[in-house]
Amino acid sequence: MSDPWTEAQEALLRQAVEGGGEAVRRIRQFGEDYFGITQELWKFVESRASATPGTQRQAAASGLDQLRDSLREKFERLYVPAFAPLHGQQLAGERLMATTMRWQRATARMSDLLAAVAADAVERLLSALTGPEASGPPVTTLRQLHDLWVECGERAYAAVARGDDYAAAQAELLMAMVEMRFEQRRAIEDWARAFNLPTRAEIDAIHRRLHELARSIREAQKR
Amino acid sequence: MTRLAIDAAQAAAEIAEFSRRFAVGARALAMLEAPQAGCSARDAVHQEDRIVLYRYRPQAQSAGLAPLLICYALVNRPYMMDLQPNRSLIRGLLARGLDVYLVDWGYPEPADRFLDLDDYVNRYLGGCIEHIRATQGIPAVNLLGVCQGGTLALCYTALHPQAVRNLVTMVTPVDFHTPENLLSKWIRGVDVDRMVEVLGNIPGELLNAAFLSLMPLRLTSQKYAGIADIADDPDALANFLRMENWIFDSPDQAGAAFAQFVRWFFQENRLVLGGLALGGRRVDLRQLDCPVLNIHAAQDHLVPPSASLPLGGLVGSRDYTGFEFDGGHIGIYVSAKAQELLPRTIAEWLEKR
Repeated sequence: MSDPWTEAQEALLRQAVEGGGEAVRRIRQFGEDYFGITQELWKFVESRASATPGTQRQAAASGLDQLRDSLREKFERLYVPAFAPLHGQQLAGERLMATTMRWQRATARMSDLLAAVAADAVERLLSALTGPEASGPPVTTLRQLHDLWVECGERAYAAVARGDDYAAAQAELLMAMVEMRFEQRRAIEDWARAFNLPTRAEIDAIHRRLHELARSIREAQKR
Repeated sequence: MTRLAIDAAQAAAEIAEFSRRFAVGARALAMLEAPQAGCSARDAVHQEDRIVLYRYRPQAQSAGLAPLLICYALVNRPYMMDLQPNRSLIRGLLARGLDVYLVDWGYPEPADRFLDLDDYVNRYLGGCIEHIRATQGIPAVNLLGVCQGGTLALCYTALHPQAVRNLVTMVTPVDFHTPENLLSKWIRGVDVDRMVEVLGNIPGELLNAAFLSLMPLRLTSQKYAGIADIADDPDALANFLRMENWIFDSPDQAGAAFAQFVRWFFQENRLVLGGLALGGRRVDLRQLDCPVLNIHAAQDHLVPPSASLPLGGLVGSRDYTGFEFDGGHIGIYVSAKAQELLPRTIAEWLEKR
């Protein structure tokens, strides 16, 4: 037997679910999309299982593209601006995701540059072995071939590594890693604070004070 | 027309032989004892925080010169100067009757992240020099700065010219903006203050990755393939292991000092362009008026000659000597020709002053 307060809550909930309204519609949409992601993943697995032999590679690539587009669309719909008591956690999650995406982009950029280095190194090796400018003694051992490959690779790498693009890509990769690390640490420290555990930030603050205090004492002693 | 003349059967045999020799080398390496950090007898004579000043025990009759203090870089460990008996610049200097001291910066801990260049130059290096001056009753020491330690030694000498009798710099970066300086080019776009704010001390592994990426194939694939070549040579394997141990024995860098060094030297080139101050005092190389011996390595990939050579035009000293070593940044410590040449060059130069 329910008390009047509980009955009132149940009535409100029934009304909300049955009656619609923008907020409820969005919550239902959220739920459908959330489960929809799992459905999409399952559809992908099913499609792979039924792929005909010989076309698996193309089918998988196509399937992955579809899956990515579908997930992106659903994730975008899932997004709601941060509000309510958990808005801080949502913002933290968004920041962490954004820094992770930045790091992935930076990694991809660096991979592109290094792939170009590898391609250039192969060109240089072929040219050194068979091109019109090929000179020097015959390469008769794998070790000589390896050494020549290293020489060509280093030349190809140096040509790229001295460029502005590479310096910018490397700096971006480093800073993207730094920012991702910062957000990861912040998330961990939020949890630590919730359990009243000390954090790196607190310890750093103590060390900074100790350092400044020690410096003040040394200066006072000098006077 | 092709240079490629590899016979398939010979190639298969070569692979088999390489694998066998590599396995022999790897097994032999596993049997070796862990390398020691330094080989010459020495005593700790002064300590402040993690910094220890060592004095090496004499190995020859005294040359009667002022003590020589070696100031090594903050990156990597200073036992490279005393790696093994037949590869030790310190032994070479001792053999010539020099009284040798060494500053060991130690391994910074997270609590040291706020140590800055003022601490390293004025407090720690200055404290070591004051200790030597006080205990030996002398007005000034001879100072030998190595690599980044040379840059620190230049700062100290410019700030305290009365405390340094002669200054020797080895593979020391001075002008950080020359085109050959790849590290400088890479670091210029980095927000180093933010990096230190987030990471605290900078991990030694991160610096090692940067150093390896200067010549990634030579310093990884080619170097380790070379184990097969020395598989039957216990001495060469022991040398290899000592070098590996040193290369990857990389202390973390105290955050504040690292940020200042990168910003002021690598990014803003203040030693050349001006504007450098430590402990509230301006560092002006024109104030450096003691005799200077500047040794650079002709094939240095870390500190290219163009980064070292401008020193002659920047110091106030009228007694400046440049010396070129025919080798690289590591060879200047450990190559066979360096063992006799460099101690002799340094000792003879000091004897004349």
